[in-house]
Amino acid sequence: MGKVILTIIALGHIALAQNFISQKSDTLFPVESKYIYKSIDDVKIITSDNNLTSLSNLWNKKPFLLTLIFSRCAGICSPLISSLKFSIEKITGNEREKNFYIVVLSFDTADTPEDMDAFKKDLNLSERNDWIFGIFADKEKIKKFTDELGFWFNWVDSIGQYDHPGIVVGIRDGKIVRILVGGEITVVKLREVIDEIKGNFVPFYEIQKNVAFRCLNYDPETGKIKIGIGTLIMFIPAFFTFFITFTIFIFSGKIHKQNQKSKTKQVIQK
Amino acid sequence: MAEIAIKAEAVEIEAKVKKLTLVWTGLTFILFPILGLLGFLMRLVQGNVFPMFPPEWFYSILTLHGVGMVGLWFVEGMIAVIYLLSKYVKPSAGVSWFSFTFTLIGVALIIISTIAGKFGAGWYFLYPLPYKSAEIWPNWATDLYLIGLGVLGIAWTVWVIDVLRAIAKKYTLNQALAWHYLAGKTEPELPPIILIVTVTCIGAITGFLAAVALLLLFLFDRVSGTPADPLLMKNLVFYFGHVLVNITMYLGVAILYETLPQYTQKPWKTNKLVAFAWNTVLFLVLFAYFHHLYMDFVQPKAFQIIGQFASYFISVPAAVVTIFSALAMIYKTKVNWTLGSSLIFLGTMGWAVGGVAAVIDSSIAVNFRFHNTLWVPAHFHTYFLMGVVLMILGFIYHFSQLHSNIPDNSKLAKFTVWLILIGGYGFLSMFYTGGALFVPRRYALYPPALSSGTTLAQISIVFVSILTIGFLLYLIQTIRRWARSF
Repeated sequence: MGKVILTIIALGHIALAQNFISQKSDTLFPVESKYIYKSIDDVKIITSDNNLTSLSNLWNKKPFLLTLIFSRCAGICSPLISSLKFSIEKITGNEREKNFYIVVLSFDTADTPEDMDAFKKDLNLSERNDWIFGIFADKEKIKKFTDELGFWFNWVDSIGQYDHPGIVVGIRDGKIVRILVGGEITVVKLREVIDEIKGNFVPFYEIQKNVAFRCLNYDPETGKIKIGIGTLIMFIPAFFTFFITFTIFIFSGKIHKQNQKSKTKQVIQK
Repeated sequence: MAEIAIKAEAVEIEAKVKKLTLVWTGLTFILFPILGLLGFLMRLVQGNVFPMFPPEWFYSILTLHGVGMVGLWFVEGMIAVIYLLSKYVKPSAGVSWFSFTFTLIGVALIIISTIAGKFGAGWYFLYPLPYKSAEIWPNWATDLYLIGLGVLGIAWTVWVIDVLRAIAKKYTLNQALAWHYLAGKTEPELPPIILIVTVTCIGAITGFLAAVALLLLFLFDRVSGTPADPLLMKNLVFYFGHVLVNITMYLGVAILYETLPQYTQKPWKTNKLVAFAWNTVLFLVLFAYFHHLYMDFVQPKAFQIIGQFASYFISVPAAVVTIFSALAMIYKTKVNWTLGSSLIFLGTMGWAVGGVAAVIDSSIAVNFRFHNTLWVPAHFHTYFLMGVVLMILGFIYHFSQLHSNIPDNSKLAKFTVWLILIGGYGFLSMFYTGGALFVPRRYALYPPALSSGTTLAQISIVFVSILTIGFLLYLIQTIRRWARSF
């Protein structure tokens, strides 16, 4: 009896633990489907070169990728921006003027435009106008704004740092179109987000790998589509038809001529 | 002596071809009413006349009606054309009998698959649906359906190759495609039917080869378990399906070119324009099918654009040249309007009306709205039912009357034609209205949100009833003459 009770209690604990894990994973990173196509607040920001502007001023010109960091961050912030920079350069090459912005905002009320400017310089981005570093003009609005994105941050006294996730949000016309989470931004995923904020069609690729005779092969790494053997198969009926048609006309014509010749010979012999 | 032998040979060939035509036509008299009534039943179901009708039955009937009608009018068109061609060339009677036998086997397999096996994936059997039926139909039903199609494909490929062989025995490819007309020469004179049938047979071979590739890929999937690319499968199915429907219409046009002059007493000769029109068709028929894949976003953009332009340009040469020529032929001419000539002429006009509706739907911008609405059955029933079907029915009457020597009953013929026109276009107008209201097609029963679909189906029942009476009267008049022709 005691064993049965212990087993029930153990199973109950496992169930509770699983519930906790799933709750934790829901709140650790924003679940994209909860936030997608929702409008974000049109907050005012002060850029690293001390200009006051608003997010709507930016999204009315170009779509943008938005990420939230703080300048004193000893954790995910620098690797996240470096990874973002690397992937963007991979995708767009050496284009000086991109048709989207990358907006890096600090959620730390202690950060100043100068701090963000230093951060920008550290990442060798000071010459890049499409990278906009800044802070919130109205510190009161930070919490509401970050909540709208599913982003959270907590001050941890013991380490003197903020605990927060890494996210990159795709914004088009003031609306969230995609959210990437984690400290590493892969080229494949970022390419999809960039295409989506620009309103381009995003091809997807099958997870199932063993499909025979593909018409097209999509490489998510390069974003290029290559013609596959399936497309060539589509042209085979036409090629065979030409072959069959020419064969029929050449051979039937020859046989017909031979028959006519032999008939003529027979008539002459008669 | 030699002349007598040649004449005896010609009489023998004529008798053989006549017998073949009579037998094939007999098969049409059986299959046409059955397949037509299945169509009627589907409109009754959509009109909620039988609310308890099982939807899976609706889809197997839809499949049988679709594949049956397309196949039936292709074979009847072929036999009509072979009969008319035998004036100029000698297709093999043995090959036609071979095709007849294999067609019967193929049809039997498809009937078993759809009726006993409830195969209901539609005539186009879009991959991978045939083997993923959610247990509505068993896999053997799909196997039988595909084997049936394979048997038909073999029979018909051999058939069209034999017709090409017969043409090739008398004409070079250059002559059969009237290229010498394009070069400004008029000798040797080429009957238009030879040109049209050559184009049709070449088109048919390419379509049937696409079907072979498609069936092999199905077999590959079934045997190896490795799935094929659905995009490739869809391309192949519409390559085959679109070409088959197109060439069936061209067989109807070949009938028109050969028979209408007999009622107007004016010759219809090949000229540069006719040669250009049909050579354009030969080229464009390979690309027009792309318009079936506008909704497939992964299809390369270039194919979509080619599909739109090919759809526009394919209709201009063949249809416009033929329709204007036909109108010019009857203009200020005393035409002998019998039931046969009336149906052949009205079929040509139906082809024009359906063609315009098809071109509208082949515009990418319009297709985004009309895709899979009732506009689709509207346009293809126009150029098929009120187009090529009328042309071929007109030929059957023409042929039966010629060999029975029973004169035309002009009053009854007129009444029959009016019933077919009112019933046919009334039935089609309900489809067009449904399309304009964005009512989707392929619904067994319309949900309350799409109640206009039910209402339109109910109204169409009235018109289909009129059409059925019209066809019944046609059959009574024609079968009487057909029976006397043996």
